[in-house]
Amino acid sequence: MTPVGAVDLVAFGGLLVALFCIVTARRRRIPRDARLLLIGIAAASLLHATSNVLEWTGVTPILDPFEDYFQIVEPLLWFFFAYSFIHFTETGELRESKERYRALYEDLPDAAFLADARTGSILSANRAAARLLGRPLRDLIGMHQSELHPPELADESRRIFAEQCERNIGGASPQSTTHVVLRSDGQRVPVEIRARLVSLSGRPALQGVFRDVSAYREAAALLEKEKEQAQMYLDVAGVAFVALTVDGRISLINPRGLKILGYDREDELLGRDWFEMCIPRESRDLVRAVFEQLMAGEIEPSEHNENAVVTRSGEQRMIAWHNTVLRDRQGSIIGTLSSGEDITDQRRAERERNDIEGQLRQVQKLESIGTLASGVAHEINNPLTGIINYAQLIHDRTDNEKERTYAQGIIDEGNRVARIVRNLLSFSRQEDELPSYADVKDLITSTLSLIGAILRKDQVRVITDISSDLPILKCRAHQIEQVLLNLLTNARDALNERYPEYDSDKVVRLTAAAEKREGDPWVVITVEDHGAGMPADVRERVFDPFFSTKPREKGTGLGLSVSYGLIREHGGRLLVESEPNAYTRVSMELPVDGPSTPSVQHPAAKER
Amino acid sequence: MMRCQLRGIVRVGLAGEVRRLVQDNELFTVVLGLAALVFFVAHRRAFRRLPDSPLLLAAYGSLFLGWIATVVEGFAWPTVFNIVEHSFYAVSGVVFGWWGWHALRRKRGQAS
Repeated sequence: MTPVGAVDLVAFGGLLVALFCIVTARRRRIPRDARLLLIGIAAASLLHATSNVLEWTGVTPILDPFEDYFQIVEPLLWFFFAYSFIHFTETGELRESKERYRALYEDLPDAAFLADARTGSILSANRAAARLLGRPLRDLIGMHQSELHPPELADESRRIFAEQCERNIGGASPQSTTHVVLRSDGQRVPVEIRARLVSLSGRPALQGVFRDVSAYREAAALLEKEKEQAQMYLDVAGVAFVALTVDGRISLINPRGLKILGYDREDELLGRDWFEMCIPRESRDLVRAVFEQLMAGEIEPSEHNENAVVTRSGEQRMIAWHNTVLRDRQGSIIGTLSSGEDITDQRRAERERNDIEGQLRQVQKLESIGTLASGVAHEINNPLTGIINYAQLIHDRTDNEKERTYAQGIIDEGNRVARIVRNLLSFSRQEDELPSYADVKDLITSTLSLIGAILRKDQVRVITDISSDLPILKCRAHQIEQVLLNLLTNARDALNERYPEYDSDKVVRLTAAAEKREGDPWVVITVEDHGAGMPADVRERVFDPFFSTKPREKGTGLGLSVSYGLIREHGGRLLVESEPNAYTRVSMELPVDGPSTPSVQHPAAKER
Repeated sequence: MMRCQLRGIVRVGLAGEVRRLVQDNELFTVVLGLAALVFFVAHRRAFRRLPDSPLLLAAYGSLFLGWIATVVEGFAWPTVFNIVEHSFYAVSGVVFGWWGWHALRRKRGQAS
């Protein structure tokens, strides 16, 4: 055997194995046609190899004449095998694609129809379409598309179908429209239809997808109902509701909120900047800064807060707010919702109640001090009288000049203590003086005669303006004179403080006029000076007993508190107005006929 | 009979003898084989679906080279190219058998 013969034997063996494997291969491994061709290839090659082996081994040349044919057949068989395999692959892919489309079409949750665009007859439909209409699929095929809808809507259905066909010409994207379909049981189902014009082997067809929107419509109706209900709650709520966006614009405001702010319609405020529109200018920047920090998540919201809002008319109203931060589903802050109660009137009432309580406290304080003072005065009065009398005896009977001087000192100081005691008794209204009728002009003149010399000594001019028609006043004249004396003394001290030397403004202006109040005659006596004046904290306390800004040797701190009590006892009022380094004006208002019902005035009322 | 044996490309010697260089069927085989090869290459992606397709293509490639060697054999070194031709046939047969065994007989899940 030659080497070539041995090589052919190897080829023969390999081809034999190949033929065996191809013949016995499982069906799924290779397509049937391709396998037949492979068998042909293997067989032709095997015959070729067999021929070679027989020729080279010299057994028989019987196959030699066919060798050329085997050789030509082999490439042809390979070519056919390749073509067959490619064809199989392509048809397989097409089949898979068709199956996928079919599965998609059949399993679509929405009803799908394919209708001839020219005739309107239904060419195909999926299972969801059968479920939607409650009919078997075979009944749907061949129906006219208008038969899917209620009979009274047949014309409209034809119109919509024609519109969809026209609209979709040129490959326009499908547009949705709403319609109603009729189920076999007579139920009408609202649907949303999206249609697209397609070509089936050159024939135009309209592919429509019908979506049952009855559940959506029910949900929308429910939502609308709840929205109306919520709006009703907002409308009838007794508090204001205001929602703000992250940039501080108003996104919701209820009628109560509009009313508080003085607006008629919500569109006057919706979309507007809350801080520009409704927050007072003086606190606007601060409130906005806090809001911005809140929106940035830098601070926690305060659940309750009170702040002023400015109404359309410019009036400020105090609102108590309850705040909530609004967040979206991701937890991001999208604004705030606040309910606000108008507490302006409540705060005003609280202030008034505080004022009255303050007045009561003042009265109680004065009364307790009066009680204490009267007790002390009675205890002091008797021994003081003895001291003064004994001092007077010493003064009268001694020849020693020094002793007389000392006795006189005791008498002077004793009289001074006696005056204090008398003032204390006046303060506590323990003096026994009955009201009598007095001419106001005489009272003023008498008082000025007492203090006139002192005023002149301090170069203080007194300008009087006494009305000629002043009525006769029912009063305790001595007490009114005491009050006037106190006021003039205070005016002098204030002028001396501001102008230690002579000054043209060193003037006390004293006026007296008659007034009618609710039909009753009143007398108003005013003492005004342009001296040192009083700051607010001093003004607050001028009627407090033992409060004084003067040196201890100059004042007891009882003058104005005693005066306040005396005028109150007369049913009148004592009002103080003052500005530091500008003026002080004290008005004594007295009812002409004496006290009817006691009235009091809180010191806060004396401020302007 | 003589005419049949001498068809194809021939060379006439100085002594007037006629010598066969290439037979017609060999040329046809190469042309057809080339066409099939071009088809294989053009659709090589589709042939990936065929199990162990590189082996089968290798078997065909060896066969095609054998056909070329047959043609070359008529022009030069006939003995050498004859051995080359049959060697390619042998390689093709073995690879074809290997492919058949490997691709068609192997149990599912067996590593290739």
